[in-house]
Parts: sequence; C-alpha cells; structure tokens
Amino acid sequence: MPIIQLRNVKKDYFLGKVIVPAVKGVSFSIERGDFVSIAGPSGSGKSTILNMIGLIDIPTSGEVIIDGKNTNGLSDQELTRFRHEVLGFIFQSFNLIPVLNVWENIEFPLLLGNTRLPKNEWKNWIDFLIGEVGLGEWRTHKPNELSGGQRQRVAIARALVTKPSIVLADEPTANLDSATGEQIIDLMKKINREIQTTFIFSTHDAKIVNIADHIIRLRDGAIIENRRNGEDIIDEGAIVASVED
Amino acid sequence: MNTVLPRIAARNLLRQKKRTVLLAGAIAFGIMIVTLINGFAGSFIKNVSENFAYLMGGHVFVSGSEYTASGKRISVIRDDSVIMQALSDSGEKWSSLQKTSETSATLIFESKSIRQNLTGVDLAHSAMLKERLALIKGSWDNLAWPNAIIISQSVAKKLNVLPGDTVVAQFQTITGQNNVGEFRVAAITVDSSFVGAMMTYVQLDYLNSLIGLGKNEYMSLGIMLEKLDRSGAFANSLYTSMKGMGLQLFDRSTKQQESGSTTPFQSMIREQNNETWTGTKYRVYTIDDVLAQAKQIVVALDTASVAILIVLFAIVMIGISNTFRMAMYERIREIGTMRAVGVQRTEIRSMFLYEALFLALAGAVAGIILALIAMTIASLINFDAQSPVFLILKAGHLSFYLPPLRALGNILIIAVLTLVAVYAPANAAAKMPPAEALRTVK
Ligand SMILES: Nc1ncnc2c1ncn2[C@@H]1O[C@H](COP(=O)(O)OP(=O)(O)O)[C@@H](O)[C@H]1O
Ligand SMILES: [Mg+2]
Repeated sequence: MPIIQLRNVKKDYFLGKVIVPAVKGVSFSIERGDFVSIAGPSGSGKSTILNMIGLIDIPTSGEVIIDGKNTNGLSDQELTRFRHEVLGFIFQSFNLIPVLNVWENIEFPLLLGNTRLPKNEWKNWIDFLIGEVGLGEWRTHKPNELSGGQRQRVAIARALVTKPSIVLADEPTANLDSATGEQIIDLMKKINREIQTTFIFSTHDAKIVNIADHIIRLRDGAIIENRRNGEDIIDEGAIVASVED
Repeated sequence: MNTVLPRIAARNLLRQKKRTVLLAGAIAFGIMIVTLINGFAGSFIKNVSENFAYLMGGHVFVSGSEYTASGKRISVIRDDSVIMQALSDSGEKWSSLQKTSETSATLIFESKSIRQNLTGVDLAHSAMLKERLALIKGSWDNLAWPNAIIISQSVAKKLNVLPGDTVVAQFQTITGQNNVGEFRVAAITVDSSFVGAMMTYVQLDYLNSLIGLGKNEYMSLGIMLEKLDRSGAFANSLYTSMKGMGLQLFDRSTKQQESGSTTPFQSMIREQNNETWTGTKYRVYTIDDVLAQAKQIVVALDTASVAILIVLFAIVMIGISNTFRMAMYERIREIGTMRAVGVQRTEIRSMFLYEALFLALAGAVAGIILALIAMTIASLINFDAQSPVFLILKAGHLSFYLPPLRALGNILIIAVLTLVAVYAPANAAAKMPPAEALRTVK
C-alpha cells in the first residue's frame, strides 16, 4: 500500500472575491521509502501540495490519505497529533527555534505529545543524529551562530528525531549555495537509504531533481509528469475522473 | 508536565531585553508605589495607637467633667471609689491603672526655658513608668522626693540640667490663675521611644496642690490592658457597670449613626459642649475612639492604593497587550514551525501566557524589593524630637509594616491583569493556521 495517496485534491485560495486555484485536482501515490521530488517553477503549487500532505493545510476538495488513514475531517488537535507522530518537516528558511541550542532544537519534538522514550535511549538517539548530520562540535551553539548549511542539518536531525515515516522538505536548498544545497540533498538521500524514511522534497532546481526515485513535475497547479524509477505513471486522477464520467 | 514551553517562554522574554526591562520596570514601579502606601498604612495605625497609649497612659480612659462656681468647666475626678467599684464589677481584666493630672507649663533653669506638658502620677508606685522608662541619670530612689520631676534626655539637654538641680515651672491653675512651682530633677530618661522624649513626669500630689486639686483627686484614670484590641469591649462593660452604679455618663454607644461620619469621641465632645449638668459627669473612651479618624485614614490609603494599582496598571496593560501583539507577529514563523512539529494550539497560547506571567512576577517581585529597600532607607531617617509627625513614628523613625497577604494580593492582581491583557494576542497566535503562519515572511 502506498504511504501517501492524493485523490483529486484541489486547493483554492480566496483573495477577497477572487478565487486563486493553486492546485487543480491532482492525484498521485507515493511508495514507502522512496526519495521523492516535487518539481516545478515558482507558483506551480509545490508548497501548497506539501502543506496538504503535511496536514498543515486542508484541501478545498479531494482526499489526502496518509499511512492508510483518510485525513479528511480530522480536528486541529488530531491533525497536530498526527503530524507529530508520522511527519517530519524541513523548511526553506530552516525555521529553528532561536532560543534553543542545537541539541535542544533537535530534542524539541520529543518533548511534545504523550509518548516518551526512556531518557537514556533518547539521548543516544539525539547524539547519533547529531553525528549523522556532522554537528558533533556544535551541540551547544545557538542557531544564529551557525551557517545556513549547518542550520539545515540541524533541521534535518530535528525532522528525524521522532522517527517519522515521512519527511517533507519544501525547497530545502533554496536558501543555500549550490554546493551546500547538493550536500544537503546527498545527506537526505543517505539517511533515506539508511533508515528507510520516505523523503519528499520540492525544488525548482533542475540539477537536484534527478537524484529522486520518484519525480512529480507540476505546472500551474497540475501534474505534467509523474515518473518513478524511470517509468511514467499513468495519471491516477485521469483514471478516477474517467471512471466517474 | 512539559517544561520546554515555559523554558522557551522565559528565554523569549530575555530576547528583547530592552522591551522586557521597560515593561517589567513599569510593573515594578507601580507595585513599588502601592507597596509603599500599603507598608505605611500597615504600620500607621499601630504606631499611632502605641504612641497615643503611651502618651495618654492607657488604652481605656475615664475622665470627669464638672462646672466650677464661676461656670468654668474643669476636668476632674473627685472621688473614684465608685469608679473602682464599677471597674471590679465589670469583670474585665487590666494590667495597670494610672491616675493622672496634667498641666502645660514652662520649665525654666537659669536663662533657659522650655514648654512642656507636665503629667502628674504617683511616681514611686507607677508600674507603667518602671516598665517604660529607662533612666540614664538619677535613680529610682529619687522618685520618693515630693517635688521630683523626670525629664527626658532632650529636655535635660535644652535646659542644661543634671539630677539634683531645681527648675521652676510656670503654669495656670484649673481655675485659670497663674502660679509657679519648684521641681527637683530626680531622673533623666533615655529618649528611646519617640513619645518618651516628650513626656515629663511629676508627683501627682504635688502637681494637684499646685494647680488647685485636692489630695486623692485627679483628672483622668488611664487603664492599660494586656491587649489593645480588647479596649472597645472593656470600655463598653465599664460603661455599663458605671451606669449601673448611677453615675452620670456621656453616651458612648449609639452616636455614630446619628451624626454620620463623626467618631464616638467627637460626639461625646459635642454632647459635652451642648449641655450643662450639675455634679460630675464621666466619660469612658478608648484610644480607638480618639483614633477613629486615623483609622479612616488607613482605610482611605488602602483604597487609594488599590485605585492607583488599577489605574496605573490599566495603562501598563495596554502597553503589555500591544507589545505581545508585536511579539506574536515577530515570531509568527516560529509559531508556524512549532505547530507543524506538533505543538497544540492551546500550548502556543500557554507559552505566551507563561511569558506574560514571568514578566508580571519579575516586575512585581522587583517592585516589592525596591519598595522594601525604599522603606529601609526611609526608616533610617532620624526625625527631630519636635517633629510634628511624631505620632506616626516608632522610636523617632518612620516604620513600615507590609501585611504579607496584601503583598501577595498585589502580586496576584498584577498576574491576573497581565494574563488578561495578554490573553487576546496569545489566543490570536494560537488560532493562526500553521500554513499561513509559515508562509509569512518578515
Ligand atoms: N495564501 C495564499 N493566498 C492566495 N494565493 C496563494 C496563497 N498561497 C499560494 N497562493 C498562490 O497559489 C499558487 C501556488 O502557490 P505555491 O503552492 O506557493 O507555489 P510554489 O510553492 O510552487 O511556489 C500561486 O499562484 C500562489 O500565488
Ligand atoms: Mg513554495
């Protein structure tokens, strides 16, 4: 079973009386453990789709099914709990909590919700992640003492700390120079291989798109290419639509 | 319990140090003012009562009034045997009795003079004097001298006298004739209590003979109780007891209602001024009756302090509310991030409320500490013996008493007001949809 399914998902924004159709009914599936890229020019709807997968935004219509669970109609509280348990987030502008140091930023998600690891296990796990992202020397530094690349590494460790099934990264390299950006993508890919976490990242940088196993290309809120391991996938939305016709 | 949110809240406060210091400073200033008022009001009535009790020689008093043949009203108790009977019949307990007469006199020694109130008591047998006075010169034995006078250190210094010296006193008799008398300095007392510095004691019998009262006569009976707060009840039963023995008495109970805001003491005085009688008419009153107006001052001060607290903080709270609204917009992306990572709406709200609470507590505690420092400094000031504010002083210094419950109450008021001020912005931050918060770029 795919870990993520979008079924005819639409998102309209309302600017006063003007309706902006940001996502125009897209359907696709993502397989567990894949390294997925959502590509497309600025304004094509990448962020909107990632936000809906990430349960921080709600579709105008259609269904978002994550880990077999239809997320329609969940309360804000349930969505928050779901995000905490199943999803990890990496942002374009890193979004670390400025008053927490590296170690505390990574630990932060573990302090939320109801589930608690044993303290010892938890500490070892954070230390392991800090090692993985190469910030062993920086654990007590505050975000503003780090470079952009280092901050994004902290963000990656933070996204992974709750052992989520899915990590979402909205243009994680957009605020980095291209060399650092590539390192970040390589790191994500390495972790994806090592611990089988599904990674979905968006980018408008053609160079890094091709590292992905599964590429979903957007234009104007619609899918123009859906290709996994070199093979085109037939537009599931079109199938749904034709069956409904 | 999740401690990371309060921790972040506390650190967020330190992020904008200037802003935090300003807001906490405003809170601290308000609390300081209010605490000073409370501290002053708290000790005011206590000091005034204690000083008055000492000055007047009792907590409950009986005095008599009568008209002379020429129609002049004088203060005198001619025969106290009925009063003593009434006292023991009342069933109340007291710690000491003191019969006193008083006159205002000018004391003269060589070329120096000073105006003093002379209080005539039975020097050798006064329990209260032995208990209250500390001698620095002279001796208790000298108090057997029939014309002994006890003066305070400051009076001794002004007149430049030593024990054994004889001073001359000029005064008027009860009927208004000028008279003089000679007194021999028996002892000089430490000005320990501030009021003590004002008191000059002489032998009751000698004073009576000089001002025209007979032996066994005096002006006022002072009754010291074990506890000041028993004085009202004591006076009431003594009054009833004296009434029962057929003595003429100025009404003591029901006057307050009739004449509005006047005190029982005032209405007694008024009654005395409005009527004439024959024989002796007695008055029973307490320190509290005399000081009822002082008590009204305390109530007024405390009410004013609450009003100040609220007005001052209405202003401060507007500032705090606006500042938190600003802070919420500044941190909107952090809020979005936290929400994405799994922080619940209610927790975002709590985080801002924690921040507000810490700010309020820091400000309030700082304000109380500042007030305590100010009180300590103010109470170091030594007031002059002739200072007109002596009645509110304790041993010549300002004193403050801050009732702990009142301090706690003030902190509570501030905490609640701050939370109320911050609730709306905190709630707005909590309600912000995460996608929208994350999209915002500042
Ligand atoms: N809050 C919003 N209000 C109105 N229009 C929006 C809003 N968010 C996004 N859009 C519009 O939706 C479209 C898709 O935006 P977005 O998903 O951010 O694209 P991308 O991430 O690919 O740049 C764009 O046309 C954008 O202007
Ligand atoms: Mg985008």
